[in-house]
Amino acid sequence: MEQITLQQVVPDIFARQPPAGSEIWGNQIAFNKGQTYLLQAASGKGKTSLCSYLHGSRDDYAGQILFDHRDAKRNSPREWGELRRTSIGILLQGLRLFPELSAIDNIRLKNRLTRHRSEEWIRETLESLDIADKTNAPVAKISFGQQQRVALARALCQPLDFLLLDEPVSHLDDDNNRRVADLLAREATRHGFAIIVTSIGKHPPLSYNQTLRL
Amino acid sequence: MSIIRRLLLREHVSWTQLTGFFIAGLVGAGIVLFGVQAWADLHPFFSPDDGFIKKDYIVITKRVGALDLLNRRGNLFTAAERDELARQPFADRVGAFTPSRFQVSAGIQVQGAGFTTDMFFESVPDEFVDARDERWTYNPGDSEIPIILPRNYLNLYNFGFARSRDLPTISEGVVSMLRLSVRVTGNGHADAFAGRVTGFSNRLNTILVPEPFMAWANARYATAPPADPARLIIETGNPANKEIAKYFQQRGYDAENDKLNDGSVVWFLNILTTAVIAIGLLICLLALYLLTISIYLIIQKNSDKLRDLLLIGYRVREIAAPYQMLVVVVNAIVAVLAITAVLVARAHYIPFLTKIWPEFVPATPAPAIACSLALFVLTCFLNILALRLRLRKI
Repeated sequence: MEQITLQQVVPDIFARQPPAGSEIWGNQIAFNKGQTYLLQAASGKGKTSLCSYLHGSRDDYAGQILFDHRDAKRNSPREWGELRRTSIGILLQGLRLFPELSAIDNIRLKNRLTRHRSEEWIRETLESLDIADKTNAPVAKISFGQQQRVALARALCQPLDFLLLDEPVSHLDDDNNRRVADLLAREATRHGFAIIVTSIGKHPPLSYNQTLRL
Repeated sequence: MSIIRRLLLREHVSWTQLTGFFIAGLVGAGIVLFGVQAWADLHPFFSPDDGFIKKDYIVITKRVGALDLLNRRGNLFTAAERDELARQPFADRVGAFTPSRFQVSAGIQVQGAGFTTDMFFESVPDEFVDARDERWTYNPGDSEIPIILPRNYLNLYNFGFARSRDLPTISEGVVSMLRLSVRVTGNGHADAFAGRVTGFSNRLNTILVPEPFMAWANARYATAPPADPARLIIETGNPANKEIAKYFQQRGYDAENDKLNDGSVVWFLNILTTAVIAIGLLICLLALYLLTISIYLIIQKNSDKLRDLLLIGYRVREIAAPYQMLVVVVNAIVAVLAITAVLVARAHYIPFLTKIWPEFVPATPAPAIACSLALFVLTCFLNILALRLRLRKI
């Protein structure tokens, strides 16, 4: 997939009163593979909704989202599954990790599905994100900032055209924020995928091609 | 254990519910298999003919009343009565018993000692004879007569007389080796024959000789003219047919052996096994329901996890896999234990049956094994179907 286009998309919840000054809701916006985007907004402007629409877990919106030229609403559950394995990755704000599994098993759970990364890559990535010592710790027992990094590593365990990051570094200090940015920049350069980051303030220091206000 | 199996099963499987299913499933499957196997083992015993179309035979006589002493022809079947009987829809074929109209005495010589007794012969058309083999022929002039005895004569001796007197029991093989010296007299002739018992009949309660011998001997030795038969044998598809009993009652005919009852025994056996199997199936169904509910509960408890798995790209097929494995493993264990239980039970009842019915031939355990396989496939299929349908709604 090369392009995601939003055509006059408005979440149903904003149908009566679209947020004033949004550069996305009710406009035509295209996200292209290989580019990096930052979507900034205050709380309640629909960041998580946008990520859910692009990832197929919700479709309560008016307007059209086009994947290349295909209406996203026409995707079957099977096709969404295929996209989630081979094209669109996501790091949700709520992370959605499995608390009873260890950090590395959470990552493996995804990687066994896609067989995209080596065990070695996983361990190196945990190392580079400074959570190697939490490799075998149950996710329930590690901090939210550490969980965010585990979720990021998991999101990278698949072929990607677009990577959606919903407030990925909200709980990270500057050092770890930079680690995340380094990893993202490295992987995006190597694999050529687009990164779409939403943020209410803090965001990874990447060289964004476009910054949009939600 | 794979990560997904651990994630979806380990913490949420209710062992009490599984045990409940396990016990219910085992009891249900055990009852079904036992019913099927017992039916397969017992059924041939109650219906002696193993053809594709089960035939049964009824031997009938006229009821003997006090006045019949005066009227000797009163208990014979006239040609008109035989024709009418043959026209009845329940009667596939009707045959007459031809009695010997000459004097017969038979004796056994064993190491010089021996005894002789007066007796009689009867014959029926060959198609009604159940115990005939290639020796069952007679050509006029042959010095040896094949004889078929009722099996219950031998049983009477073995289980009644011999047992009460501590005499040795005699097998059918031994009886077949004895040569009887048969003496036939009448109409100015007296001839000696060798009698050889060639078989034992469950169906015909008489001392039977081949029809050609009877025709020849009656012509040679009898002085009285041929008489109407006193006994008829009827071949029928269903001896339990109520029409038969009604017809006999109206005309005052008696069914000699318990074929009519045998029919009800078969009927009773069928009803009994059907009831047993139905109860077993009901329990199986409840067990199936229990397992399905139990899995639904696990899915309910895991619904967030299942949704998250779908969110990271898992397919319904993949998240169903651990549950399917659980279903298959549990059902397989139930099937194996149920079939084992039935085989063990069978190992106990077969020797018992063989003891009371020496000619009892058990069926193979194939019906129970096939049935357990079918139950296994069916329960797995239904469970997995229910599971997939439920997962699609997540």
